[in-house]
Amino acid sequence: MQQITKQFHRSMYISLGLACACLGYAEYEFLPEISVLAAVVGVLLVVAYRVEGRWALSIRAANVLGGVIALLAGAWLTYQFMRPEGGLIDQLPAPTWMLPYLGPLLMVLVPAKLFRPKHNGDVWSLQGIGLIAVALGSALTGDPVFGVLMLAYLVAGAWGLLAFYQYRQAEHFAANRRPAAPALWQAGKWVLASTALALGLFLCTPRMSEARWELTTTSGRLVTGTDENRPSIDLNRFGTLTSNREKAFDVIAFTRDDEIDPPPKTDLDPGQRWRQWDFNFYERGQWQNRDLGYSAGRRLGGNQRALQLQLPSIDPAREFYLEFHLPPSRPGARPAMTFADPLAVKRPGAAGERTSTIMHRKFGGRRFSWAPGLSNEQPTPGAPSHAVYDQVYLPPAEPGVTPVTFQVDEPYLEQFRGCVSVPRLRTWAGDLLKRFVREGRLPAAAVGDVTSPDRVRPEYYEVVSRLFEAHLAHSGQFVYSLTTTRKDNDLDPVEDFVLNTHTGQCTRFASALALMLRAVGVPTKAVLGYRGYETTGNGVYEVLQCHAHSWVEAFILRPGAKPTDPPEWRLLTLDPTPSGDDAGTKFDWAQWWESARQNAASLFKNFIIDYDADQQQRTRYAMSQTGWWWTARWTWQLILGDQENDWARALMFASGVTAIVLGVRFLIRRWRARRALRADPAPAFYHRLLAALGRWLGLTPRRGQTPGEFAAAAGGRLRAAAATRDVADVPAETAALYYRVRFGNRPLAPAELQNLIAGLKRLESATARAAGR
Amino acid sequence: MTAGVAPTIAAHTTVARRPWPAPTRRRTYVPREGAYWLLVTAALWLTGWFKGINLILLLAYVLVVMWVLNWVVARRMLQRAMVRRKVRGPVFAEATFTWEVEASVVGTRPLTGWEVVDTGPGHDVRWSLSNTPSGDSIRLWRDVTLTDRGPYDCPPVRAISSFPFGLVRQEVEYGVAERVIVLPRLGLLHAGRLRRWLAQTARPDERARRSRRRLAMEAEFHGLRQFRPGDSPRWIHWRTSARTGELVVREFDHGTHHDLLLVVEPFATAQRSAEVEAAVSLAATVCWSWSQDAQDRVVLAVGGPEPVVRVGGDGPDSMIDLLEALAVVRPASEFSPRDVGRVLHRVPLPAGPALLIGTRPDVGTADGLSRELDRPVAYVNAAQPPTFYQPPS
Repeated sequence: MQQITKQFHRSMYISLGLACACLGYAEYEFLPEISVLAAVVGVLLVVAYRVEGRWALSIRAANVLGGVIALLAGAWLTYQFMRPEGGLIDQLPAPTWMLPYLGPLLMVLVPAKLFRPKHNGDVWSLQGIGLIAVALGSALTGDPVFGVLMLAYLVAGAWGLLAFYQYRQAEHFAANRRPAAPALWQAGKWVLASTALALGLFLCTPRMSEARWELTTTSGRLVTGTDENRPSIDLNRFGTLTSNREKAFDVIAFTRDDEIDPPPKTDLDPGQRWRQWDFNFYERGQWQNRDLGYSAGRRLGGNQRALQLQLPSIDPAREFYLEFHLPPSRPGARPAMTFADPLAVKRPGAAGERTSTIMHRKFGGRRFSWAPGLSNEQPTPGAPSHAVYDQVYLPPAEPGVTPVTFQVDEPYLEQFRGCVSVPRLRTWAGDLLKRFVREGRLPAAAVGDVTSPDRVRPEYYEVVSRLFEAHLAHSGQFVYSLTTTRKDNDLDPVEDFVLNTHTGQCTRFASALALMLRAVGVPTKAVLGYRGYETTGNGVYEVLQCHAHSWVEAFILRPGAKPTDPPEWRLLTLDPTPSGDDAGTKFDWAQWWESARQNAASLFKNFIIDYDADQQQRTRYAMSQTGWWWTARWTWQLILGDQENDWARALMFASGVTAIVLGVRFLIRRWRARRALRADPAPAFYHRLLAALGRWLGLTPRRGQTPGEFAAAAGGRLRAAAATRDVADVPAETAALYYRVRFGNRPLAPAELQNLIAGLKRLESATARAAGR
Repeated sequence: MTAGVAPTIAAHTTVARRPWPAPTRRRTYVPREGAYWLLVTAALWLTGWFKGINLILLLAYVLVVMWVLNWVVARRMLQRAMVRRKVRGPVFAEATFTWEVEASVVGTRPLTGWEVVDTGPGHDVRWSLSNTPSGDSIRLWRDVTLTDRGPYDCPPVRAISSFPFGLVRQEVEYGVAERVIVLPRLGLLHAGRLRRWLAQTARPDERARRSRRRLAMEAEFHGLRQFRPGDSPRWIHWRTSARTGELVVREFDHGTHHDLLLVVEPFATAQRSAEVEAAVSLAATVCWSWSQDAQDRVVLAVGGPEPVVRVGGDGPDSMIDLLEALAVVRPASEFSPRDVGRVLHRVPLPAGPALLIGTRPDVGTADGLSRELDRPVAYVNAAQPPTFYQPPS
């Protein structure tokens, strides 16, 4: 009884402590001062646990304490209303801002109630407060650590319920049937089973597409991938980037455009870039695509919309074909089309028009073309016909340089030089440029454009671009990290990155390079898309959200190009993000842990926190695309070998499986038998007697022989031998006690048990000696 | 068995090995805490679903699954439990006796966290069991005292489990409702003095004198035997006791003529009457004492609108029959010696004394009955018990 009571109190206090920890962790982002309160509450919980059952507040004192808490809470809330600015009232929408303020009140309630005299109903009240605290925390955060804390709380809570159940029943326990206190692992078993089932229900529950709780989904948490609804690069968000392994799209590559049996292309470049968005305007930490008031220029290979029935052939020796499969998007959303970068175009035909290299499938296989990025034509939002489209792709002859040329004039290019919001960066980039000149890595003639003495001359755009790219990627001053921090909030995020923190993700590196180049007069675009893929073979490639990447495109003039007016520009792809290859391929536990942590966090975010109607639809799509038949085939080959005719192997396999099944069955039965024996301690000592007599003397009860009869027979046998004469009475004594405990329901007193065990030990020793061991 | 009529437990004999009763009813109860649990879960679910707060939605699902698991586990556990009631020995009102229930578990695994509950109008016994090994049969008992005589209906014994969390309660009833006859309370009676009083009760008429003389001759010395509890100290044969060193009493040869005709007049105008209770207790005590000797027989008649006659036989079983007849006696506002006599004449009457126990001073009932039976009838008013009888406290 004492043990059950102790276990019950322990489990209750641990679960309440974990509830407070959950709430404290969730509220920290909104009310940092809650960490102090959480520490105080933790200490009070420890004190309450230590004095449990020995001291409690009187009801009157508890009521006074409750009144004081209410007054303090009122005063604190009043202060939150009255404070000039910076409170949650200003930051969060009404009435959401009230939620964080409930947390401290709940946390204080727990110890206040614990110090009162308690009865059974109070236990439920306390656990109810704990549950509300955890639910409140669930509304305030979506962090994986909170998920772990919540799971721990559930285990402790279930443990508390188990202990409380036995505690309530303790007074009715039959005399010799007192149970052992419930163990934590038992509660863990129940909670894990419940959570597994709950997850299934959770994932299958239909969702309202418009319901998104912003506090947990956008509270500063970053995740890899692009957002089709908000095409921008937002550098104002910082924190740790969570890897998102959700599928972005599928690509099937063919070496020839053959609808009947297209040969797969299996050697796609591992660093293949998939372009999705590009941005021309930067301000206050955000890249956007704006109409800057000057369109066109004369672009070669430009906007041509024509009905095509098949993809053109550009260079039969080097070209290949890509078939894109986008997962279904949310109704009403614009599908974010992606294509392999750089885009190739067909040279002018007889009509003088270029042919698009991207075509959609529509209306039962009939195709029409549309060139994203080169046309104002946009696909119909949500139209399923755009879920699949094709591209003929020609790898660039010179890596990073687009084969497409653009004949654009200076006012058009000026749109891509804007960087007025980063004055410090402009200064820093100018200094860097001068340093390159001083170091002789750049000729002095490179600086000094006709428009500005600080600008780079157009023929040196490529050199400067590559120098700046190398500086960010390989100088060692800048480090790639999934965690982004701010040091000076007054600075622009890119300036803070370049001047202070020097660490960040690809978007920081790309933004810094684009703005650095703009600062010295090189027109640039920031590009958002994907890089790399995962393949399952047969020319099928999966691009995941974790492959999301950002890079820069700079307008350059290639030396030796035919002088035209306006000149022909090309786009140079620049990727300033350190590749991480310097770290080597050696296995590192820290790296493994980080990777595992990121994967777990990604799963948690994708399938719990951000699991909405879209994600549910995408999951369903992914499930439908999974080749379950492959699993069956793999199993078949495992049994029958690769040739599927190795019957000897199948026989061995069957034998092995049978042996394993029998072995497991044996172990389970043995485990159950031992468990049953442990569950009923009454006959344990009698079994010990049987074991001792059987092991050394070969004495076992005959069929139908009662314990008393067997003990009498065994006593006679022991009495006959000189070595065992002293212990001849032990069997009879043991059997008598066995009868008493087993059938008389009179448990052994501790002293009796001690004597009995001592007698059995003497018996075991004597029988072992007699047997010559 | 007719529906609605509970079978009567043979309370006076050791219960024979009866088969385990089959579960007759399974019920699920949601205790208050379980209802609140569901309420909170529903609130969390609605909040999580409408607001799109996935962690709250998941929490709600975990809570509801825990509740459902609780229900399933409790239900499955009780499918392996077997329970039966065993009431041993005669049950007397206001006397503590052992209420026993036997429980067992089938299957291969031990059963944990369940309760055996046996409740009725006058008793509430429960045992919590944990880690009950399969194949084991557990005897559970508790001392119980029932206050009122008469039929006592026991609802079926139940096994209850809320394991593991106590959020939902599963209950299984075994067998059907049973009926225990609670025998009347017994007082202390000096049997020898009763016999002598019966023998010496003076009657004014000649017939009575003849009867008295006959009664006096009925108790003849038969021999000596060892003292037994309940024997009157007056029977002790001191000389032999001193010689043998142990108490020896005289034994009388009562013969068949020591049989007793006992008539109870439960006259009362109210539904509950202390006088009737006293009369029933006195009658039960007389039956109990008179039948201690296996050779003595009691013929019992209970007056009322429909007089009842029970003929006792040899041994305790027949004595219990008489007590059971007394246990169900209800107050009656009329007593007709003629009716009683007519009913008594249907059975062979004993040659021994006749005793009428009433609830009021003698109003000529004994005389009337004497005339009907053509024998002297002694009369005792239970409200003013004779000195040889001490009513139950």
